[in-house]
Amino acid sequence: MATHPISIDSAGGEYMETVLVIAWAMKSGDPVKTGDLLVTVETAKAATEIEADRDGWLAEIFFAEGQEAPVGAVLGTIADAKPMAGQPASVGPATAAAAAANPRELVADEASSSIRPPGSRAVASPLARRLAASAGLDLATISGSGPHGRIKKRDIDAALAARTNEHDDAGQRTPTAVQTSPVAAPALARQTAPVVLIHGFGSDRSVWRQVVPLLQSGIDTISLDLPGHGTESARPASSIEEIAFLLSDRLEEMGVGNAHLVGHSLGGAAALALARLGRLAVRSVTLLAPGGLGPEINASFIAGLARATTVQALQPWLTVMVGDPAALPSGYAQAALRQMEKAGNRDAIAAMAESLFPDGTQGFDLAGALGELAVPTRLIWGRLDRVIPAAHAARAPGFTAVHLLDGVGHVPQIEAPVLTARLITETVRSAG
Amino acid sequence: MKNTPSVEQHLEIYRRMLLVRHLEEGLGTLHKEGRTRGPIHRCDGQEAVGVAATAVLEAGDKVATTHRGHAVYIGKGMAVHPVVAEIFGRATGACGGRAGHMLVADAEKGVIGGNAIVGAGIPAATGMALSMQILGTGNVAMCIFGDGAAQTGICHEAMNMAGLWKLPVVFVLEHNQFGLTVPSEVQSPVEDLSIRAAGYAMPAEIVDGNDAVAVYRAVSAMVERARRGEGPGMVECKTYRIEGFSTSDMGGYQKPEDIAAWKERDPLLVSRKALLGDVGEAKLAEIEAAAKAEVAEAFETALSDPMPEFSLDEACNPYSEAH
Amino acid sequence: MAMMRYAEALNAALREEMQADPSVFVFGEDIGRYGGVFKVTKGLMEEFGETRVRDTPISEQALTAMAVTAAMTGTRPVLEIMYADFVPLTLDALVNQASIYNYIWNGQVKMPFVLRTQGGGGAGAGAQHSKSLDSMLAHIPGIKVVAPSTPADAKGMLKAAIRDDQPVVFLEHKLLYNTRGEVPEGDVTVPLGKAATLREGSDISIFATSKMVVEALKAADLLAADGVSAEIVDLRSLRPLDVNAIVASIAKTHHAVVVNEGWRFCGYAAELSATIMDHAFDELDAPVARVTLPDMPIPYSEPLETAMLPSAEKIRTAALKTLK
Repeated sequence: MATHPISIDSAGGEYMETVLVIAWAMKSGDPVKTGDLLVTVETAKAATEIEADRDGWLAEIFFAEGQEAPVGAVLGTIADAKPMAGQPASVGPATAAAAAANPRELVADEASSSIRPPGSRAVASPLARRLAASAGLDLATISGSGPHGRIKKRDIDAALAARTNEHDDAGQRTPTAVQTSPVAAPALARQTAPVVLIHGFGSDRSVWRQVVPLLQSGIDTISLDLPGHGTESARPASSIEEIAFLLSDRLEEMGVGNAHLVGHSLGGAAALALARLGRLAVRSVTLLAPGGLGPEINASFIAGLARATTVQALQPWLTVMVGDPAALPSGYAQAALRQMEKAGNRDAIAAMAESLFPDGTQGFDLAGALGELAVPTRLIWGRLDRVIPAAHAARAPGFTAVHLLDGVGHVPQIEAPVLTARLITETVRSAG
Repeated sequence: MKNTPSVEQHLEIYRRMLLVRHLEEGLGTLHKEGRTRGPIHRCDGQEAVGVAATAVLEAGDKVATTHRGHAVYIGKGMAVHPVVAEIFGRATGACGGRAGHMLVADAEKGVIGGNAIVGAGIPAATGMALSMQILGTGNVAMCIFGDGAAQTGICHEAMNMAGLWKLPVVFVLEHNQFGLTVPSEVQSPVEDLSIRAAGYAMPAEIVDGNDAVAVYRAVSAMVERARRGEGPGMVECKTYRIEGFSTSDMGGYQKPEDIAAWKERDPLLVSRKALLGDVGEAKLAEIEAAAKAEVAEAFETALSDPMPEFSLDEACNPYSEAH
Repeated sequence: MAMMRYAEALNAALREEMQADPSVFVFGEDIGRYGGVFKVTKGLMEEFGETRVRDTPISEQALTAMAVTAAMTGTRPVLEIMYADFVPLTLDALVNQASIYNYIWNGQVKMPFVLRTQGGGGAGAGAQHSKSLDSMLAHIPGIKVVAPSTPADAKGMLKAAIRDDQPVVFLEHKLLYNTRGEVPEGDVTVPLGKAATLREGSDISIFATSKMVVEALKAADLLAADGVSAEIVDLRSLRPLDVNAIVASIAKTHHAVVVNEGWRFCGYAAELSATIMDHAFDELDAPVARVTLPDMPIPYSEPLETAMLPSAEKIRTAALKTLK
């Protein structure tokens, strides 16, 4: 039975990546005449009606009402013959649901319909699938070179290279890192590798706002939110490896291939895991009271931080966090609570705490990852740290510079921003 | 007579046998009420073996027993409450509710431990004796095993090595006539299983397993020998399993006349009769009342003790970095 | 460093540990006067006497059960089971005894014993003397299973195993005993549960233990001629497994071949494949390939046996197929 795609490429407009399916005018199995209204979609703030371009029967619906479809996607098909009841082509709600689960895989344009018939699943390796998703590539547009037409990493690489060439030909800028640096890149002595800052558990990337302006000019920074935190609150992670994978994906998306890593607490552990993952060329590593160098962690602090819903409940734990409570900016507790409310991630971080710190123990050991580093490495720890004992610094291998700060607790970047910025700058500079 | 227990020792054996009997009867009652969990293997009528044999041992000596080991647990010095609490799966049990009644252990008391793989206690005690010999501790290991276990291959392997190396281990055969439902004569071509001891160059003695004094005397002689480094010995205690294999046993295969005959020779009656002349009725009545009260209190406490909570236990995780 | 045979490295480990700790003793069939069928215990009876070095009757079942309780009561037994094929005789002691007590008895006892055995084919020993039963052993929770491939690891890991407070099954290979390698002198232990990357590569990761590491290294040479850069990871310890090392390697190469000399169905290679899927699914650019013994008895005649055993050539073929 021949089927013909219901296409929306003319409807989307070049400024849009997706359209919203508002309403189907008929259900699958209904007869269709040329010019009949099939489906209404929302494009660029306007409703667009798509009409049938031939006679036949509405066979398949790939995007249900209320669902977003990428521009270029095939929304459904028109069949030449009446679909038989029970035949796979006569699609009911089940297929709509399947399409909802992963619309990208069901998308095909004219060119790729010769590769896979619309509605069939793209065969791709898990790695290729992940890389395509993070690059926004449509698997249906890629032909696989592996066994049985399986799409492999090399096929994604080839597709990305082709896309880059297209952009270059059109005189467009290739996608580059989205950077949050407040410092304009100066013409001279510009560090090509950015400094990637990773905050600790229960915090977000704003924790670096005091340090970033103090770094030597010419240093580009990228402050990332950890999975489950800040802007990433919808994507929690349950292991340090998963955190590393997700961070690595984001850096890859930004086009960051090499970087200086700075991590605080859980973010320090994440930095080490990221380095161990090996997908990023790491130029230097600065760790502030990092996790992963010993089993101990203040479980009450973690639990208290994750649980607190009022300033009164949070304040005592913030006091534990610092060496001198006066170091905390006034209103810090209120601001931290507001952030958490805004992110809506309280449950996510509580779940992360449970899987990352089972029974009040750091469930990961990254001393090995630290030992394998072959780049300038600096460890900064407050002697008064009551969250992760500064004694863990003793596990640092001989090549690591260790700085133990008097009068400082768990958050040197808040308690001693000037010194912290200086030490980060020195680490970055020493990497050349 | 040499190796005869003193009156005080016999009185203590009698008291512990009473504790075990009350424990078994209490379990029987609670089982009928549906308040026990899993099968329970009672040793009613066999208390003299487990209690009198272990009464011979010193604190540093070790014992391995069977799935029917309540008399051994109490005999080797465990208190009633942790045993009952373990049987009811409580956090306060001897093993925190993880072991259940067949696998109870108390390393400090030298009970390591119950074993529900029939025959496995025999090499277990032999291995302990090997360790004692190598370290020269002067201690003795004891294995209480049944006539069913005597038919396993591992029994032969272990006793052969015990005899060969003159290990300080005493094998106490608790011959209760049945392996689950199958009577001993259907399992073995010989009635007195201890004649096999000659094949391992170890002495053996057959005693009335319902007479605590007889058990004590025979076991004591073997333990002294073993402690002197003269090698293992075996004591075959003839007894009878009054209450069936376990609480899940439907019965019907034990002859009522056999049960009645053995009940007349109940080890508690045998000891009571012997002690009456020595200490008098009043003393016995006092001990009996105290034993009954002690077990009742242990049940009451255990039944209101908290249940354990499940957690992944790093301290008992052999793959943990902590080890 | 000293150049040593694998068997000599094991012998040195036993000797050093027995010298250092009087609670260590060794026992097993033919290990005393004769010095062991593979000469691993050579000279120990002369040095330490017949109390601590015992020739035993052929009683694997009871010997293993005795090792468990001897370990509970103050000694550190090292039991030699002559062939891995005899391990099924020991299983009650491992499955129903050793594996349970630590947890069931709430941490009341320690069980520091080592069960040394050797397996593997290629020596014409036939169907009852050539098997690798790694997966059967590694399946049992509560027991560590290690299988070093080099003399240095053989010594360092045996010393670590003897000092470990939990049961360790130490798997040797009959064709490794005569292999030579540099062994650090003195009291050097190698931690159990840590893999070693023996050769770095960028295209495909090959994971193996014991003799299969030797085959994997040969395969890496063959693959290099094919233009493929293979990374060879010697897992060294089957359980606990160094998952981090596996994930890190796959994150680099995105392709994996797992090699095990045991049977395929429910085998150790299957466990490795599942572990990789659990932890590195999104790094995989191709399905994990398994190179194992086929699910058959090991025949005697040389061409029959050779045809069955995993080899460098089979590993190479699997790697090339994975990279298609």
